[in-house]
Amino acid sequence: MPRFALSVDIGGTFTDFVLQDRERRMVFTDKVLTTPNAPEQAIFAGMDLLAERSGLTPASCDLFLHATTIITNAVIERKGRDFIFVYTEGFRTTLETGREHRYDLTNLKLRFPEPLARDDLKVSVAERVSALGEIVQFPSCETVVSDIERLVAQTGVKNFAVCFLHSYRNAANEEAVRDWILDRFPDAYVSMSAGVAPAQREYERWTTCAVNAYTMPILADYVRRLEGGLAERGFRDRGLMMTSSGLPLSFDHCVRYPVRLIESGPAAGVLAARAIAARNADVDGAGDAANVLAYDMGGTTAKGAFLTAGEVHVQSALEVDRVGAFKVGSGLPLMIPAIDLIEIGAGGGSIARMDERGAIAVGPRSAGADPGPACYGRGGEQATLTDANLVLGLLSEANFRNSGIEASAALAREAVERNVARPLGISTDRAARGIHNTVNENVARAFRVHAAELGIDYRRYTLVSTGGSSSLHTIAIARILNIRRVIFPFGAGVSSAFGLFTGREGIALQKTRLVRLDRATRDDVVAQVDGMVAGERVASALAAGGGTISLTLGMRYERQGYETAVKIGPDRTLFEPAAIHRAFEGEYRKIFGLTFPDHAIEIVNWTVEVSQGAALSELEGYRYENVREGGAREKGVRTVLGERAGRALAVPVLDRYALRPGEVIAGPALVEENDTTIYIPAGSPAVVAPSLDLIADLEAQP
Amino acid sequence: MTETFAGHFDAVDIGILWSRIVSIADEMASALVRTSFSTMVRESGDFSVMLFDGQARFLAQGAVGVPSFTGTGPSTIKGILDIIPASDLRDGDVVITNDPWIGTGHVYDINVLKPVFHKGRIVGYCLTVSHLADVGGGPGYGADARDVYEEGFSLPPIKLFQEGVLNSFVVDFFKRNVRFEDLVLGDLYSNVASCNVGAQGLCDILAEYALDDVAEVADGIFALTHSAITEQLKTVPKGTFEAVLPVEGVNGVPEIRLQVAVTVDEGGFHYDFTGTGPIVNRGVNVPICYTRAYCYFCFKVLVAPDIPNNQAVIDFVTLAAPDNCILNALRPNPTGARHIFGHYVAPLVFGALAEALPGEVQADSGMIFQVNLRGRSQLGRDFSYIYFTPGGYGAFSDLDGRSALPGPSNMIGGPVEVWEEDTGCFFLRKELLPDTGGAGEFQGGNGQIFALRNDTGRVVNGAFMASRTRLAARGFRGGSPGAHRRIAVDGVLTDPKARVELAPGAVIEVEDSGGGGFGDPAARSPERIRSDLRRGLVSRDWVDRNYPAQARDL
Repeated sequence: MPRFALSVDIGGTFTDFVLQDRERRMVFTDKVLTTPNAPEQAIFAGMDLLAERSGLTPASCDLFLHATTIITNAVIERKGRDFIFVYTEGFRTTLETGREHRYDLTNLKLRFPEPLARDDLKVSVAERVSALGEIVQFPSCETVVSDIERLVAQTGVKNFAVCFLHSYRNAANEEAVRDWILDRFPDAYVSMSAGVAPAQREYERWTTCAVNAYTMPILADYVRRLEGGLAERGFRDRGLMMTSSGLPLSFDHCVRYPVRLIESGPAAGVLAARAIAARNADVDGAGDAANVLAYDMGGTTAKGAFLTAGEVHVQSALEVDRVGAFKVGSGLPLMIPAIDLIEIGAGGGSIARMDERGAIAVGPRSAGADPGPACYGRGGEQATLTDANLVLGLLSEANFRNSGIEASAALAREAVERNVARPLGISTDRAARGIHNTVNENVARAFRVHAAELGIDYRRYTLVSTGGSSSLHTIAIARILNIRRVIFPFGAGVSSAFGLFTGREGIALQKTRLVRLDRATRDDVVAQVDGMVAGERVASALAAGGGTISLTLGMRYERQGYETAVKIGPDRTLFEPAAIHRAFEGEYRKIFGLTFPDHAIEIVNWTVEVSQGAALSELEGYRYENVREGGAREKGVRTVLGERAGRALAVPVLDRYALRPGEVIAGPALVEENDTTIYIPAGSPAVVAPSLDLIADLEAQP
Repeated sequence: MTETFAGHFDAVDIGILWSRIVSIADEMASALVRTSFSTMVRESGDFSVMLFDGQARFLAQGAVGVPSFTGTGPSTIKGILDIIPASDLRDGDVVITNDPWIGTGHVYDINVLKPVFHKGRIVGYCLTVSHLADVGGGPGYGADARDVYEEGFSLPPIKLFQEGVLNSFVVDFFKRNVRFEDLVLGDLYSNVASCNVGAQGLCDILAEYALDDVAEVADGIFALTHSAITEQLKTVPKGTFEAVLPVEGVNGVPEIRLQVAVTVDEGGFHYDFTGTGPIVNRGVNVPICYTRAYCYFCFKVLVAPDIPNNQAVIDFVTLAAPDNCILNALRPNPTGARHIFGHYVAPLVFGALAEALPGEVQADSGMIFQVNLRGRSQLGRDFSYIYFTPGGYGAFSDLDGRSALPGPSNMIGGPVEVWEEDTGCFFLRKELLPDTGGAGEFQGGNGQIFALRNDTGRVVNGAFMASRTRLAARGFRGGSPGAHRRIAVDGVLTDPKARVELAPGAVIEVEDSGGGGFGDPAARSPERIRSDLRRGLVSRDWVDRNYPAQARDL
């Protein structure tokens, strides 16, 4: 077996690397600056650095795992490629009119996302499928081909989104047009709405298809350059990319469905949290290693996700590019299988101010890296969360020197006083504490709302904290949520790259097909599932190779409009309608607190996951290459301001890299590492686990 | 410097608790949408959810829903408690009513109130409102009833649940009086589910912060709101501002005159509707509760758009309207389509304040088109659904009106694919109509065109509730009006408030009205005109006619 496996996570600022050396049972990590215009350059640079440290040669590496923000950035920055929108005649502007709804009731001046399609690149097709899936009108090959040829000749654009009504029920018309395009232009890119997102609701399905078309040439070019570079270096084995659902897929498959990479990096991060909880399962504590709340806060946003019984929650829709202050409905809706992530406009750079209510608001606007927080002294006038934490003593000027920033606590204090304390008529210390607490509450509230939507009681969950700005807040958030166990993983700075290793290769298939449960049989359900698997190349290959086929159903009472996800799993005895009925009612009661016994139940959406049983690679028992031996445990003592004015604490500052397994940190304590600082308040003692992860126990809280 | 505020909370604490309470209202809204049965709630957003404190003071509303219901809510709760006093309420009770004068101005909305008990006392109330598929009565939802009795039954406030036990009389009453009992009862229970979510959320907060009551938090929210708005009002010009707005009439009355005098002082907005035309004998009359809701709405969007709505906001508003003017219709006048006129309170008030608050007001919007369709689908399901199209959104002093966006109300048409499946009707077309927005420095939004064919194989009954066929959306401060709405059945122009029988194969075609422009068209930037041309919103011809100065250089 080849010696190495490599994972790479391209983020906005850094490209992170984790290299597994199976021979020496050792893990190497590294970070290089991302090269946005040619992301593969950072990858090659990082591989060269790792080669020096580890002896990595491409020929000795059999697995290349990859997560990337390339698709998300192309959408948010509107740097995708033009495409020809081929649509059902009479429905030219569905992508632009959207949901025809104000997402904010009492603010009339609203912003909406810029359209992706160009009006001069639209081709209408006289065709129609009915709501029942009958072909009402089949398109004319001659007309379609001549219309398309004319537009291609004028514009040179050979990238298509084919979007017809009711294609989720019968894709024959979309398929015919796709075939005619490819027949005429074999090198064209074609996205087909029924292929990308086979679900009801035309605006959402077509938008998903449009995003797919908008990004496909970009991903295709990138993958071509990346594969070329890897081949040049002699790498010739498996390359996989993380999709939003947490299932890594082959490069060539991803190129056909780039929209599925929208949450690539965050999905890998959630898998990392699962692995981190699992590797500490034997450590004493009140939490449950299989039930996890993954939490990550960076410079501008915080993210969270729940894992129940070791499984991620996969939803069938998400929204990107929310232009209206993270408000639901202000972005582009995508119908793709995706790990259910909560996104909050809160991070270290989030700007604090007195809002229109006369209370403190933090975010969603962010000072970004430039000018950055006021304490950077780069012209940032606004008080940010980072400034507040500096005023509180949770951060010190020295923390910033690693990143080459000369931070000034005095500037931070001025900004907090000017923008928050004075307008509110409170002391600067109280204002800083208020900013800190407001973020804790914002994050906790978002988690709580999300848990309610999933019907989850999160109090026994383990909170896994990653990300540069998280760990000063994590224990406070856990306390608000009544969570008792918190893990601060070692190497949190590259956790998404870690998470890539723990994925199981697989694919999630989705289909809308309405079935009344009381008229279905177990054989119908089995036939539907097997039919979906057989119809997809990757899925059937995985299934043939012994992959697990797992079923999740989107179900509702007849005549409702929204589905509840009901996980049935791989056990086919549970495909029996009576068992499905029980599972649905159980889930429904858990979320809504009632059932409607007199109403018929229907299955609307079918999600079939085919995946390999085992993780791509195991890192259990591996040593970190970069752990220092020896060194002073305590770096000094810092004054941290308490909850109310006048109460200051003397808090020891510890060096994370000097901590050894078994050590207990009583708290209060600040634990510093390269990318982040952890705050352990009194009453939540933390122990260093054999994994080197820090595990705080909040059971002991007063 | 004072560190405390409203008891032992300061502004920091209140801000945090306030956000928390607002998020409970959002959870209630989410539960209502996800458990509801009729398309009115789940696709069209015709609902609202609110939280009140133990003294029935308005605490928070969900971020989605329609503005009218959050305005009627505060008077609904008082109307209910007048009949069933708080002392008669027990833990586990749920009270419902659809009385137009207690509720939302017509019988089609159900108002569901649940008292929240904590340690044996009422500490709050949850109120949800949603449009029901049927409430009995004559031909169904429409604008043509001659008295309120034709429109359906009025259920005075009654307990649907008594201490957690379902009142079977009420359930039987519904079963014997409505046409679509599964939809109606399903939606009733989904309102209860939403109230339960709200009650649980409120109790969780009290437990977490070891509080006995939310009153102290409410006082803090109201005090912050009051002082923020008082401050904001200092920047608003004071005086009395008047406007008259004719609205398309019904029943042989060509136009009905709406009139308002808005007095702005440091105490808020005071509306006087004296001069407004009288009620008519068709179901378009507006009870005062609905008029009041839009008075609240206008104050909110003009003065405090970013403050979450609550009692202290609406306490800045008073109003007066003569008895039985069309904006204060008394019992038993018919009110089924009261929103056709009620929605016009917003453009009426914006018009009055156009000179005082030019940066905030919105030029007229295209106003919602609505058709209630009743029939049986190909799948054999009876349906009674409303289809909405929004018309173009009015422009602002610094922002174009968006195409196909509702204002001031917020109904949603819903996906074509869902509609076709639910009704068996077939959309021939639905897309933006170029050249329909009003020209201006900032341009009004376009309307769209849609054509719907009855493919059910049976007769479908339709009732139109719309306007803007004769009186277009006005532009403000030199902006041009939007295009008129045009409603045709099988190619024959039809009255916007007509009831029609659609034979199998019949086609409704609607060209929707555009929004009004804002500011002098000559000031529109050529870049914007070029972008409109690129996006297909306007034709070259139309540009030549409406922006002649700029057209030469394009």
